Amino acid sequence: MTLRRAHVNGIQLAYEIRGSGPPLVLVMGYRLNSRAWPSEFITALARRFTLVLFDNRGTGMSDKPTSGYALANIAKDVCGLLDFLNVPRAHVLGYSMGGAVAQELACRYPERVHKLVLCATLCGGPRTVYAGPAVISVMRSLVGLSAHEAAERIATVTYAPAYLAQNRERVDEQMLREIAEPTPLHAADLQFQAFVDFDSSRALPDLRAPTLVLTGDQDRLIPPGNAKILAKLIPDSRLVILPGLAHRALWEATEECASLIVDFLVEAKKPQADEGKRQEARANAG
Amino acid sequence: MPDKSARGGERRTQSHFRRSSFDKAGRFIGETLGTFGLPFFWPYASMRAVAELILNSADPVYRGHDIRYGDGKPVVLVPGHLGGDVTLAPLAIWLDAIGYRPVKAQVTINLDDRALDEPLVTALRDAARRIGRKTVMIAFDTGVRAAMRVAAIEGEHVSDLIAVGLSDHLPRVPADVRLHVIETSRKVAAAWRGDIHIVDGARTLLAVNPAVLKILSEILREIPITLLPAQQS
Repeated sequence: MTLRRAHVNGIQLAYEIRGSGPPLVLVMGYRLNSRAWPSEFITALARRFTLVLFDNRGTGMSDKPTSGYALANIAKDVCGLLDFLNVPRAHVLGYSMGGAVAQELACRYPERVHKLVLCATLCGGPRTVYAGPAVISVMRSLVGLSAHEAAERIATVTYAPAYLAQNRERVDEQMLREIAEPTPLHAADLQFQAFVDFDSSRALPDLRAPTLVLTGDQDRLIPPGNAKILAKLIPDSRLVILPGLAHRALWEATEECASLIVDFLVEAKKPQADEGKRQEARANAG
Repeated sequence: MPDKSARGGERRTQSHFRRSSFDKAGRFIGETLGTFGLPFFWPYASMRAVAELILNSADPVYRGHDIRYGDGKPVVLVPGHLGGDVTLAPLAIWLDAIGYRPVKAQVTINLDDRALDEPLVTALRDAARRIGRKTVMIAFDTGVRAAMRVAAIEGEHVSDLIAVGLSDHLPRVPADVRLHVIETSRKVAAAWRGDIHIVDGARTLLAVNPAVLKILSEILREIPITLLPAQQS
């Protein structure tokens, strides 16, 4: 993979274009860069879409400043990248923290987002269903560990235990790809801070983009209760909870997820969110 | 024949030892009175402190309510007079919970702030190098003196000093270190020329005062991350 660089929102952002068809932007999650997407997933999506893959600020080959990690600003990075690429409107898929960035993008720049796919993510704010203390402790005790040790530690809470036990070699390969360009501690800290600060719960009832909310029922990091809340708050949403899958659902059942996402993005159904549904979503937002 | 000059030297040493012991004791008493006031008022101050603790015990700040999350900065905690790592443990736990990396100064008890310099330098260097960023020091009353002395020589490892409760005889503020002050005593506050946050409450309980914690979180949040040169490259 050869990444190109674009000067966007005051920083250099590394990106890559793959496939052909309508544009689909993929926004990666906490601490990860664009090399982390499962290769079969990218191949499957690239058959139908022009994929815009990029490294979030602070990760991969993009700049790693010491400020500007608020998710609204990362959404501005994405918007700037779309401007740079002359893409007026695109489908947007966000995974985990990337899902929060995708929500910011869709809420702040609704004209730029066609359809939205939110994988293993949350809306933030007081309704958030948090991970248990053991999981949080794993995610926060990474100081002094090498990139490989940190990735190994995180894997214990992001993959389903059964998948991890049966696919050790595959997970190790994936891990090596992810840490080839490790995310510095300050960038990881600032991403984490931005994710904690994030709250889209009040803005989501006005979201216009049809949205697929996808998660695994074994997700311990961002429990599936969050996906249910998202589906309640977004007027034109579809909720899919995949049994037996954890936070890394896209990696654990790549083919199934890719097929669900492609079907959702290519279907020619008109947006369904009428005013009644919006009011219901606003009532859910309290 | 006994050696007169040796005996004279011995006497001089003994007298110097006595004088230095008196100096130390005098200094200790002075610091104690300066920090806690006259013993006559101690029972009243203790009762007031207990009442304050009980009244504040359910404050939502302790649960992180309405507190902005931190960015993982290393924060070195410097105890005040008669304080130590143990007395600052609740603050350390709270800072950790709101997203910072608190570091103990490795001080069992602060009897004389001049003894704090060495462990403080070690704690500071270790924290800065381990996290790869400049640290912030939070120092209490007489600990502020030690923190200022150490900040003056360790500017490459410290970006900010937060003084919680000022003491007298403060050294000059190091030029390349930002100083923030939180104080409960209006008398001291009036004499201070820089920016200051004034809170209500007992001076001895500043480390667990909810108003202080709230201000600390706001100050820490506004301090930008400064990477050490090795990290920048």
